[in-house]
Amino acid sequence: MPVTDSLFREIEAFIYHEAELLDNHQHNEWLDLWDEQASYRMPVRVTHTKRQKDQEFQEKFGHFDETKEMLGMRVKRLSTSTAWAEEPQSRTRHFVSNLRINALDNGQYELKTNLMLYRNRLDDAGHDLLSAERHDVIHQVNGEWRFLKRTIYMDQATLGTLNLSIFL
Amino acid sequence: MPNPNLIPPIAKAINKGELPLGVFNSPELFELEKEHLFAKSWNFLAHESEIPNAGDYVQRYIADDSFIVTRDKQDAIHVVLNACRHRGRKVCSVEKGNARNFSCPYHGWVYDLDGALIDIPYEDEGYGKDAIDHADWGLMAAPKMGIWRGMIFANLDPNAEPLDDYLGDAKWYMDFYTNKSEAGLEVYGVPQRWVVDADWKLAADNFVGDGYHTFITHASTIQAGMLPAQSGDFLLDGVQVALEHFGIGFARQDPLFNSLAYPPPMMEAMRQRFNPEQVSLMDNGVSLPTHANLFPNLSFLNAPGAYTAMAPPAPYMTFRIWRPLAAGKTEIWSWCMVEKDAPEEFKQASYKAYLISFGTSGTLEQDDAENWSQISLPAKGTMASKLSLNYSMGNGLLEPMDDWPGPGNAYPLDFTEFAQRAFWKKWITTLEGK
Repeated sequence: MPVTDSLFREIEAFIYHEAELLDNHQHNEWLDLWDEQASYRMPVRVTHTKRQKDQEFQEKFGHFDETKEMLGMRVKRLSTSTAWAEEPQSRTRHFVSNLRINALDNGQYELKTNLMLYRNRLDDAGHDLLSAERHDVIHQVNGEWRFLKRTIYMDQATLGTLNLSIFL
Repeated sequence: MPNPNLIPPIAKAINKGELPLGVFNSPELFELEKEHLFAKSWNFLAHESEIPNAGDYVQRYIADDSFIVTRDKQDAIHVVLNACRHRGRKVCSVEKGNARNFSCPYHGWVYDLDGALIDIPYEDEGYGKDAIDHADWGLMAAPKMGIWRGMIFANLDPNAEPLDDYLGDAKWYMDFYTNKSEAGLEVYGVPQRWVVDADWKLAADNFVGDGYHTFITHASTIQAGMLPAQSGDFLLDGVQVALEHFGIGFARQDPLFNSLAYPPPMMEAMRQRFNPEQVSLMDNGVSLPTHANLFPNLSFLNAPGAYTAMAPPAPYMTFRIWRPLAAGKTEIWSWCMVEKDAPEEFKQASYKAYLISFGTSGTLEQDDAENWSQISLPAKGTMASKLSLNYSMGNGLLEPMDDWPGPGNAYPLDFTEFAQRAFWKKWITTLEGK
């Protein structure tokens, strides 16, 4: 079901807020946006022929396949002074666009967004560019929006970045 | 033309326990490696479980060469060069799939799953009837291939010794990774692939014998709880074994590491399968082996990972290939391996432990690759490339253990560099063609 303009704006503001927290490295505040039961997945993509394209995204095997607890462990690691992959921190910019919202009849909302993630490190003039479509499910808990589910569909089979020490 | 005089000074250095930093970002050495090392070594390509059915295939690489690994209708496995015999176009453009045959999109030459040439369109009109002997124009098979415990290898040197002979004494140790259960291993999912600005040799050098780095490189992962060790130096008084072509490390002191947290029924199954000498290691306070590397670029890791407070740490296992793309540039292929006959909940737990530890998002992997790129990038500097690195750890300090039941020289510390020096000696003799 489509949503009203005002609800659309509200949800849009929520996902922009999320991107801002990530780009500001406010990982604990970002973690608070996730429901206790949340899942955060990035299935591995495998290049198949068009005929076998239905097998392209691995159902059971990801780059990420996280519970909130696992996300929390990753965030805790990033808060230490020895998480060398993020010391110094990556400079990221999450460009989020093409928001599509589908209201479900159980109070949850399915979101689709396009993500262009710019990543730059150290004194390198170059950058990594990661493109993906994200499928989210959100709902409200005590009047606050929370993510229940995110699946990240990368537009790459072989990832062109040193590691995934960042969130998408 | 690469300069063969590059090697003797490096050989001289490693014999003194030193190594010039420039080896980690040298286009000249990279050309030598492609020609004289990767083209003459046993290269791991795939595991049988990745192509379980007739017609299944995966595309794999040895340095720049692309191969198709197939299973034919008679259940035989083939490794063929992914290049049409007419104009050289790749006949397989995808990573994985199932096919009856491979048809070249350029002019339509068709090849069977074993590489045999089946059809040339307009053959009679264009070439003359029976002018081409199809038997001469199939996809080129890799000169040598071999399978051990489901692991498919190929060698581009037609004179290479058989795989089994090459593995030799390393099999005694590879047993620990591959022979834990009756059904053996399977690939969980597919390999993760990503590209790092780091030289392949740094990764091999780390896995072959770097017990030393964990306490500092992986401090954050221990602090945040994913690496269940009481302290970061859990490999300190472990054991390091150096063979000519293989190095491996056992953790010892840390109770969290001992037995790597396998459930009791799986431990019991291992005891049944391992030989008495192998079992004796498990009974003498040594963990199952953790890190290893088979020369040149196949690494192993078996370790526990914690991903939830609700369950004990789970052991995970990864095979990985450090595929050289250029000097200082590597594509990592990381497989999550699990016992095929393990309970589904064990597989799930092992997968989660793998994911939070290794692979693209793995927290240990992240910090390793950061180190390797911060070595490889500066290694091309004029001054830096000549910098002498200290590779002497353990020299004059340790003697091989005389009561070690396995092959090779075992040393009573994994904070030592015998296996790394052995790797470099093997690298040198291979490049020298010895």
